[in-house]
Amino acid sequence: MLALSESVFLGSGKAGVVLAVAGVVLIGLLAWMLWAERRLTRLERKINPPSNRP
Amino acid sequence: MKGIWKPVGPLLLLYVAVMTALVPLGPGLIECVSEGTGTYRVQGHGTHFLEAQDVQVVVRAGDAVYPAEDVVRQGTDVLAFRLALPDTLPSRSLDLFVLSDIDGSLLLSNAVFAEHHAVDPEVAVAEVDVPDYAPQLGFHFPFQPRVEETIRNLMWHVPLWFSMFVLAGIAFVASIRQLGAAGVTASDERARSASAVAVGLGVAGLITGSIWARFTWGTWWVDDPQLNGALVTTAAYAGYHILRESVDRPALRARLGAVYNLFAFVLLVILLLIMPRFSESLHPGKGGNPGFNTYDLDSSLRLVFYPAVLGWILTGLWMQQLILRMARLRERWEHTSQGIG
Repeated sequence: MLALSESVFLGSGKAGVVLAVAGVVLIGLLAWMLWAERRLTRLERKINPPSNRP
Repeated sequence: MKGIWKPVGPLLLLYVAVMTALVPLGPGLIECVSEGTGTYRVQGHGTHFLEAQDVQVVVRAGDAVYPAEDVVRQGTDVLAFRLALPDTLPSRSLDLFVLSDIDGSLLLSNAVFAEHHAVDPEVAVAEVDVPDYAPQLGFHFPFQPRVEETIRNLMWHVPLWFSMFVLAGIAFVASIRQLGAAGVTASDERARSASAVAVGLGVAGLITGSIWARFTWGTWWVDDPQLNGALVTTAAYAGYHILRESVDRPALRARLGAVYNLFAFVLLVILLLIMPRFSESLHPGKGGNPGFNTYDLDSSLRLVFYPAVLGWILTGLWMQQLILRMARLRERWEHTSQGIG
């Protein structure tokens, strides 16, 4: 498995692979955070509407 | 306005990603290979041998400097030259300098070994006039032998650990507050959420470190106090969550978890911050090795590194808040469901 991954990911001129993997991970994480933030805010408003807050 | 800081972390990380990808690496020398009969070929990286108006090669043994002859530019990063060294040298090990009006002065330590020459540290040598070129380069990351292009990983690997320390610190403080209170308080959930993000950051730090080790040290893992300490610390924080899940009573879970978290943080400080400084280590900045800040005299790394640290800390805090809010909502929902039921 490691040998296979080395042939795919390691070596000169593989910066594109590195960037693609890092980009997918980072963008996926940020997309999830934004999605969670919006959904949580919506749920919090639903459970605790602004009129009920002190 | 309260959550205005939240996009700052990801925006900083975006800046870091762009800079990491686009900023070129400064020039450097990778290797010098003997091709027989006093001729050598030197391989550069990011150099401008063809574009430069003047390229000179000298070697240094002790305080003596010897100019190379017949310097031929075979490519933008390949030079060939011939050395006609005297029979007696101050040292058999020679440092190589390539002097260029674009790249400045490039050094390759111990590049040439003159095994058939006699050694006399006091041997008289003629003075050689060496040009003092200042590099004419744009913004770039410093070239480090062996590290080379992977120096870009500095912007990810190290800030991940800094962010992990901050989250572990939050969990530590929350655990102390939980221990000082009666029953289950909000601090318990704060400690749990901070520890969860700390584990995630620790795992990401281990993965980025392992990939870096494979390139620079030739193996995915070495028996090094810093690396082993990082693994044990991350495992200890993962153990915190296993411990919590194994206890049903909320008050006991909160108390046990808080006590365990204090020990986990002490373990982190000992294994990652103290122990590696007192033992041999391959890791930069540990075991007497210089850190990257020692090399980075032009501060180009800092323009990306510090935003990366801040970016990961803010992103980690945002993640922790998301997990905390999810847990509170779940708790509230369960409470409401039970009330209805």
